[in-house]
Amino acid sequence: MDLLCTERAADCSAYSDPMLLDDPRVLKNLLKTEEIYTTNSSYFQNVQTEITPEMRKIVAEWMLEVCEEERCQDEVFPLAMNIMDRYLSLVNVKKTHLQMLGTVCLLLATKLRQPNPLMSMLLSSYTDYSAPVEDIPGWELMVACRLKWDLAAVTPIDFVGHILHRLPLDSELRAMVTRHAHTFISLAARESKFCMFTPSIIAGASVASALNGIRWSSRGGWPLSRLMDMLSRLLFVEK
Amino acid sequence: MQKYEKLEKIGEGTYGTVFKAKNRETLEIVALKRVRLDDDDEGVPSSALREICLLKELKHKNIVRLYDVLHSDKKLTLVFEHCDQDLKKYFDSLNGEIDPDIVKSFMYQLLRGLAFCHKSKYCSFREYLSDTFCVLFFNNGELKLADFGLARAFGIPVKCYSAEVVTLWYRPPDVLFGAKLYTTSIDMWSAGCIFAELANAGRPLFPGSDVEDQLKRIFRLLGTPSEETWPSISHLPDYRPLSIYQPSMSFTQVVPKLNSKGRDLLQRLLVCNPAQRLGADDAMAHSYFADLNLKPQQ
Repeated sequence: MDLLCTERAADCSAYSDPMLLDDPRVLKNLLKTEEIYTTNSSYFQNVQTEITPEMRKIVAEWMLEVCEEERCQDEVFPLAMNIMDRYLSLVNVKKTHLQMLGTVCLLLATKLRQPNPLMSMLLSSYTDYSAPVEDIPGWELMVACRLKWDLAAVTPIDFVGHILHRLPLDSELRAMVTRHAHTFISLAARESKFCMFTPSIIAGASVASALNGIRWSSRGGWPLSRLMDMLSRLLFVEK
Repeated sequence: MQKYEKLEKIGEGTYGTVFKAKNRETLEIVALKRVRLDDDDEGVPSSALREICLLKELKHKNIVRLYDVLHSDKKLTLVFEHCDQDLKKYFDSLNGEIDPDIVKSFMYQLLRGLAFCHKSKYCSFREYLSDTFCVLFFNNGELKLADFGLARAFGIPVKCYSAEVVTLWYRPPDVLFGAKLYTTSIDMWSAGCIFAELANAGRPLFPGSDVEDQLKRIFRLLGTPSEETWPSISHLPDYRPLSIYQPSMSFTQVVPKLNSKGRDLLQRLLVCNPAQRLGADDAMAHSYFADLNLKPQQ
């Protein structure tokens, strides 16, 4: 038997840059641009004739599984879902094409956010070849053009660092809260009812849930009310 | 494609040919960058996809504009604002002399373009962007950051990065020592190198031949950094102790034509420890720019 080391070398991944996190304008710009990329789930009634929220959830779960299997970066899945939701709010898609749409959304999201995008062949194999590899480039162009190449959407992940930077957490706790918040964000991206919320709200709620989950306030952190005050002020949301 | 008439080939980019062209209706001159989409490959190349998606959002007078994306089955065409000259051609036209007001104006525009990039959302992407370079172009005294994948010798990296990406001459010591913490401070080092190069009408500041030589050239001007001036320097992945240089050249010798305020700004950009390098906004507020005239006579 061959002994193969198939583990990939650590990819170049996100590092926090104090220059970006300290500057309130970066956060302001994120808040300003996120609106453009937010859709709502009313496309099930207004645009789609075949696709139902349940089908979206099945495809989303499949996409999340692919991301986990391929150890994609955390922002890939929310970005792919955002691209898919925006396409579905413009174009009526047959249910037989939904997995193909999910496939090219994953492809686009990994091309944008990862050093090494997933290969079309690999993605096609995850669909059991129901999304034929030769059809992928055509679909990719169609989705990109229909969305006018506005694909580099703001995702909730983009806000997490900015929020946590403003909380008194040591680096170990910060890493744990980041991980938990990212998990909540992935779970929210699976559910169609959350796609009407802006990424900043999803991020704020995910961070709050993560901190609540580790009982931050009883570990010397802020009481929940103070955290909520800070989040609503920072992200300009009503409680 | 009938909309544009090709005039001449400008060059080969990282993933396609760049042409100068004219809009048949408006007669506007543009640059067309062609991206081939091969049957057997992975669709739109990720570098092209990133460039399109990010440039679409970066609308600023010091960043080259992407007007449109045209597509057919076999190729994509990116329609860019056309720029007359790249940095190299500009320097060639100077014959070694440059007006100090033009240096000031270009440096300010460079910093303004960088500041805009650093504040924009796209910085959250910088970690994933590889091998794209920002190139400086000029249009009637306006400086543009562009991303044509051309003219590699004059790259300012506004995006990230594998350690091999930033052209050697513009690489800061932290990257040369293999730092994985890529931050906006890298751009500020490169901006400092370009500043000195502008002030000297096109003579590169640190034209190293390899990493070792590059570091030596830097330390001969700035002194070899130590744990005192740059805590944790010895933890950098490729760190190795180099011979200790005391600064053997002064900034007055290096950039003789730059005034004292300009030298002060340059010294604040060329700091070995990335944490102490000036940011783009602070650099724009430097007193060197107090008497700035953005449109000096060329």
